[in-house]
Amino acid sequence: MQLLIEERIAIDKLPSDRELVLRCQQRDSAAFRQLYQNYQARVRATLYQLCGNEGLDDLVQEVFLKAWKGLPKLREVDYFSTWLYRIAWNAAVDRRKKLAKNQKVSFEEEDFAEREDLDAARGGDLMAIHYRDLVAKSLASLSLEHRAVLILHDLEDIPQKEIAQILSIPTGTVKSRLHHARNYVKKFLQQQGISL
Amino acid sequence: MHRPSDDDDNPIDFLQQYRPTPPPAAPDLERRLMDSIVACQQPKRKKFSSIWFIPCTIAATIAIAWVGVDRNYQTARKIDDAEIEKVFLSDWQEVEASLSLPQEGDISEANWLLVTEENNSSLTTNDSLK
Repeated sequence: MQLLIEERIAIDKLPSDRELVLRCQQRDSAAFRQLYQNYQARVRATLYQLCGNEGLDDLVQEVFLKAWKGLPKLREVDYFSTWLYRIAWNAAVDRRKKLAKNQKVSFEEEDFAEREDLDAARGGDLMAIHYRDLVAKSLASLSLEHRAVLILHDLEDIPQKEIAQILSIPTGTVKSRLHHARNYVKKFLQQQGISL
Repeated sequence: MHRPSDDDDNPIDFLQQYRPTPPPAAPDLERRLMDSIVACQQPKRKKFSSIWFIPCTIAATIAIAWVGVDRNYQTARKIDDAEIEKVFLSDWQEVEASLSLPQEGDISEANWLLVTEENNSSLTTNDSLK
C-alpha cells in the first residue's frame, strides 16, 4: 500500500508535456530526453505500420531530431503531440516516396517475410501469428491515406479532429476515409475466413 | 474513445488485438539521438561557399587596384610638387634676371650705342615709308 502511494506521488511529480516542451524551447536536452521516452513507443508503432521495418530506427531518430530543431518555433505548446504526429506523418510520406523510387518490390511484401520471422522468433502461438499476419496484410493493402486514418484513430486512439490537423485534411474527409478503411479491412478479413 | 457507433465497428477489436507490433529499438538509439541533438546545439562552422569566390575575388582585385593607384598617385604628386617647385624657382630666377634693370654703374657705351642704332634704323625705315 505504502509502495503504491509512493508510486502515485512519483507520477504526480513528473513534469507535464507542457512543462517539458517549454523547457525544450529553452534548449534543455534532458527535458527532450523525457519527451522522447514518453512518445517514442507511439511514434515508433505508427511509423512501423506506415513504413514497415526497414530503416525504422533511423526514421524514428529523424522524426525526433526534426522535433528538437522545430520546437523553438512551436507556438501552440499544448498541441505538441499533434505536431509530433504531423512530423512523423511527413517523414513517413517522404520515406515511402524514396522507397518507391529505389525499390521495385513494394516494401510491404518484404516486410511480411520479416514480420513472420519476427513472430516465429517471439514464439507466439500459430493462430495469433496468423491473425497478426492477416491484419498486417489488410493494412498494407490499404492506400497510405486510408491506412494512416485507420491507424491513428483505431490503433493510436487519436480524435478525428486531431487527425484532420495531422494530415491537413477536413474532418469530413477523415470520417469518410475511416469508414471506407474499416469496411475494406472487414471485407478483407472476412474473405480470409475471419468472422467478425 | 472516439469511434462512431456504426456497424463498421467490428474489425476494431480484432485490429487492436492483432495489431502489428514493431521490433524493439536498437539499444543505442536514444544515445544516438541525444548525440545528434548535442551536435545540433554546437555552433556550426560555416563552409566557405564557392559561390562567394567570384565576388570576393572581384572585390579584392578592385581594392588592390584602388590602393595601388592611390599610392602611385600620392608618390607621383610628391615628386611633381618638388619638381614643379624647382622648375618654378629656376624659371623665376631667369625671369627675374631678364627683367632686372641695369644698374647705374653698369650702363656702358656699348648699350647706348645699341639703343641709338635701333633708333636710327627705326627712323630710316620711317623715312623710307614716307
